[in-house]
Amino acid sequence: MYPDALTFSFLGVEIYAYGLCLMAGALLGLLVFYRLSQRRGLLNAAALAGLLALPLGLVLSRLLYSFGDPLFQPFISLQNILNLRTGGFAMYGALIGAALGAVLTARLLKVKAPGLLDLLAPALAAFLIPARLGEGFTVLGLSRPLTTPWIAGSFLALKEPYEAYLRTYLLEAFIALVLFIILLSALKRFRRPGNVFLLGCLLYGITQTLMESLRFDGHLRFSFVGLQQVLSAALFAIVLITLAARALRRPGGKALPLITLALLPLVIAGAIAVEFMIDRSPMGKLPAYGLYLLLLCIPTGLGMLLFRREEMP
Amino acid sequence: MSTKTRNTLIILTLVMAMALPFLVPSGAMLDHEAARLHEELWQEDEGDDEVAAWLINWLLPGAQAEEAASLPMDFSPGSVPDAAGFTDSSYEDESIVVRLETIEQEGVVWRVAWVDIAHASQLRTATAGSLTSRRTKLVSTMAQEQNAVIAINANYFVDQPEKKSFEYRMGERVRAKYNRIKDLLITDENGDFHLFVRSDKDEVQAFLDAGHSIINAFTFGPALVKDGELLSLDDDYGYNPHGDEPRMAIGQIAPLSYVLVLAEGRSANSSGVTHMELANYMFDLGCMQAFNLDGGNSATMVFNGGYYQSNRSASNERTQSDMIYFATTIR
Repeated sequence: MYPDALTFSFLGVEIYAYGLCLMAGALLGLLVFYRLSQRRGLLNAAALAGLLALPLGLVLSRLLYSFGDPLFQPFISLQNILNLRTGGFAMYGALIGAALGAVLTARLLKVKAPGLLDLLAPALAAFLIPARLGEGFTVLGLSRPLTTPWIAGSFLALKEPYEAYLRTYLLEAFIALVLFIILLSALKRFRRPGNVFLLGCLLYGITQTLMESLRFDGHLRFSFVGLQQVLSAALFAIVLITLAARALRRPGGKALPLITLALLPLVIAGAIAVEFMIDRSPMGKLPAYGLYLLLLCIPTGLGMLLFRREEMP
Repeated sequence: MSTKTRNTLIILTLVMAMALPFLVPSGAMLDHEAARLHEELWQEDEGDDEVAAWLINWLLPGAQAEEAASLPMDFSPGSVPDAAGFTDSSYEDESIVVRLETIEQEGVVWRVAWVDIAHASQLRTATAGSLTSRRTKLVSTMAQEQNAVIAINANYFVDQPEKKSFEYRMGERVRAKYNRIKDLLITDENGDFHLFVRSDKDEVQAFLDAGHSIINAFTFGPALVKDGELLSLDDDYGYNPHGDEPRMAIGQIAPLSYVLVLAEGRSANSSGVTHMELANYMFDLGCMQAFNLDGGNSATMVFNGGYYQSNRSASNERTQSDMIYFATTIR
């Protein structure tokens, strides 16, 4: 694993590569947000939302880390929480803070929040690309030791003298890129305001559930349960419940939403079972993750069908 | 909102974004900051006691002055063992003798390693990362890195509650909070084991006052055998005390003589054992002191680079934060 790479000292402050990547991500996300908002005549709202999103994201990210990471627990004090230079942030806090900024802006400027959140979703995906790459300069974003030779020998592996680790941060950056493209495409196709944001939440929640399982960096992790993994599972579950509830209220077939609601607890239970399998079973990790992937296809497929039904003319 | 106001907001936001590198160094807590915060925490707790303990250690350095055939008391690896010294079930050179035994008894497979060393520094610990990180590695990898003759998992200290564990590794303090529920094993400068039921702070202080140094400390347990006596175990102790589980224990038989015991479990040919069964076993082996370490899928015994247990491979071995190992001094 990399040490937290120090790049240079500027005005007496040590500047780390991770901070630079985060800056690049924030600038990219803001530019995407402004550009998309301008096209829809919402640039005023985007200007205020960006201004609120950044500090809110930073504060919530720090708070979630401070109260969610066992390593920081003994040091919780106002002074230590405010001392951001100790390092320690949670990505979910940043994303929640940004969404909160958009919702507050919508309230203040009397614009519709779902529409603004739709524009924010691809911007957040764009932000995640450099931000995740930045984890390559920290101790974060790596898996358990790899035991599959072809993966251990690939560019996805960080090789150490006796072990190789999967660079999960590379996978997460790639997923963010794919998510960005999907959300841009959905922005053109989806008619119902808020659905692009929900699609972003669904896909991010599902993919991050798997990524957080692959990551084994101890970040926000209690034993083998990761806080961000729990949040990811909760995120996609909430989206599916929302979509299913809407479908039940509309006229038409009830089978799909009912199947979704019935399968959701089973999928969650299945995910927990696979987590135990990964940690405790003599079964190799690769087949277990293959099973995990198949399992997560269920909520993805159900979500896509529910979106399709909502968006059908 | 006027165009001027909007542009001002946008510029302000972009400036804030550009300030991020000045505010955010890393997504994880930086190692040196974690070390500083730990240091502050201990200073708050201990104050003058710390100075007194340092003075005692300085005035009474114990056996650290013994230089002959020893390894440095730090995280450096042991000497590379002589390949010719290994058989399938033993290793021997002038500084260390390891003898392995597999015993099948009442549906349980016991892996027993008898270890005799010449110097206390051969009883060693290693961690996967820095003492303040949450990094984990395979015990088998750490064993390779450290040139271990034999290695076992310890107590997975990064998963022990930060505010309720007392941990030292190779003389360096990792955490210094006493856990009033869990037992504590301390190894001293002579390689002797000292058990502290419910991590009794006064007893630890008395141990320090007697001039001993803490080389390694593990909060886990329960303590199984203390001063040659089988202990009665707490029914409510953690780690499923009454369940048949894979278990790992370490015991001291005599000065510089130890036994490592792995009870296999969760398999068709070995059911695992309860805490009490493990305690009885350690007592019957003749332990003067014995302590339960992390069990379940953590229970790992590595000898000569391979596993000394069934159904274990690199693909199902659990990564852990630390290990206990024995090394040779012969170069």
